[in-house]
Amino acid sequence: MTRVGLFESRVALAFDARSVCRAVVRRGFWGMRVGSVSTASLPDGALVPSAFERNLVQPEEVRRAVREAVAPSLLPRSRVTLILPHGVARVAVLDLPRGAEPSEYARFRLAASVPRFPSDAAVDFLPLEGGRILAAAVRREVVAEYEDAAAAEGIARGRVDLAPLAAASCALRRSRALASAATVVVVLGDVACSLLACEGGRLLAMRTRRRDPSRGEAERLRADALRTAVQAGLTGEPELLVAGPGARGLLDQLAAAGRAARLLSPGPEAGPLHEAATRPWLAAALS
Amino acid sequence: MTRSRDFSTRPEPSRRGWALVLVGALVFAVAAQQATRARSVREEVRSQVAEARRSLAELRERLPRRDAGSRDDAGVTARAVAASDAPPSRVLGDVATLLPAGVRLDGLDLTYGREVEVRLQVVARQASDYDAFIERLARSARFEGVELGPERREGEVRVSVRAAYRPEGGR
Repeated sequence: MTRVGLFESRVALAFDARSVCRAVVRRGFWGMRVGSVSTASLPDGALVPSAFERNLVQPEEVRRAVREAVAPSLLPRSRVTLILPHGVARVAVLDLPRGAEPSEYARFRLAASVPRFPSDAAVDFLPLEGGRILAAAVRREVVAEYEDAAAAEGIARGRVDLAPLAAASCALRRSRALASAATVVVVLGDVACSLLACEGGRLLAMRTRRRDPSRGEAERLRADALRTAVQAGLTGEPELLVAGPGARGLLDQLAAAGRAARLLSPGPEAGPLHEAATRPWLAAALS
Repeated sequence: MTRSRDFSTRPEPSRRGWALVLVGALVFAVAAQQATRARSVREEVRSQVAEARRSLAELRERLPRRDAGSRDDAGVTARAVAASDAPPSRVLGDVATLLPAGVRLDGLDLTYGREVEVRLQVVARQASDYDAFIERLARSARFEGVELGPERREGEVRVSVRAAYRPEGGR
């Protein structure tokens, strides 16, 4: 964990299909708080999140969006955490064999799903309880596209995180707050989403799906959430938590159909609930 | 969360990594200092060894001379003892008792060393007188190792005789 000193700031730059968003979080006396957020829109098709294909279809447009997003208040010499969108990585919950080194085991298990050689994949993980990890592998070529776009606008290289893992860390915190309740967290991206089945603060399973924004998306996502819960071994109907862009509209559709669901926020310190809930990746900056 | 995820293509060294680098640098600095100190100690020891070797060489050079000096000292001591035991007057008196009437002593040369070497220059009127002297000399208890030198017979017999003098009660 990179510690942020008192009154120090951290900058996160999140990419997705429809926008590039920059957030500045600061540590004060009362913990981390979101200082400012700015968003620059992208034209359709400029950025297409994919695990295997070229993501930045229109690199100039993406760089422009990066420039616009960071222009208002990029701190001099700030190191920026880049957050890659849902849909670019292979993600899985893994039980670690005794004595296994997490990074090596994650690479062993996931790198095969990344084309060509294991060395083509950047692999990291989120530690979980009970000797398990949430591991993710993403092609280096994909990561490099985003890094190059940021570097082209003079952004100092920081670390690179993934929206699904940031959302997972957020969901775990919230799930712990819900004690032993079984929950499925639906974290929306612009074109993909992640479904996390949790119980008592334990992440049991995680799936990533592409979104279909056509009519009836809310019901399809709910059905996917229930299937994820069954696969994770959750009994009974889990509570549904939704976060990410379009979460409010999705909740309205579910409410209209008589389905219970709630917004998920990275935390009360992240600002107004409805705003934070649309940016679950803020957890990467707040954690 | 207790760790930062990083999927970048060129991950930055973590703080732990930097700490390890710093520890490594510190260890290197200490090792370098120790090496420098050890080198200076080595040079100092080397100079001390060289100094000791020089001293040893000087001592070795002195030893033969001292031995020689000791031998010289021994000779001087022996000569002193011999001179006290065999003063020239006594040697001369002993030689005189051996001279026949037809033989005279022209020269007496004494060399004091481990023994008292006596060189006699004698002149005999006749060969028989000379033979009688040599016979007395050879029989004398005071002289031994009689060696006859070259002789000239021109009416008189002139001859050089060498012998070692044994003083009475001498070693």
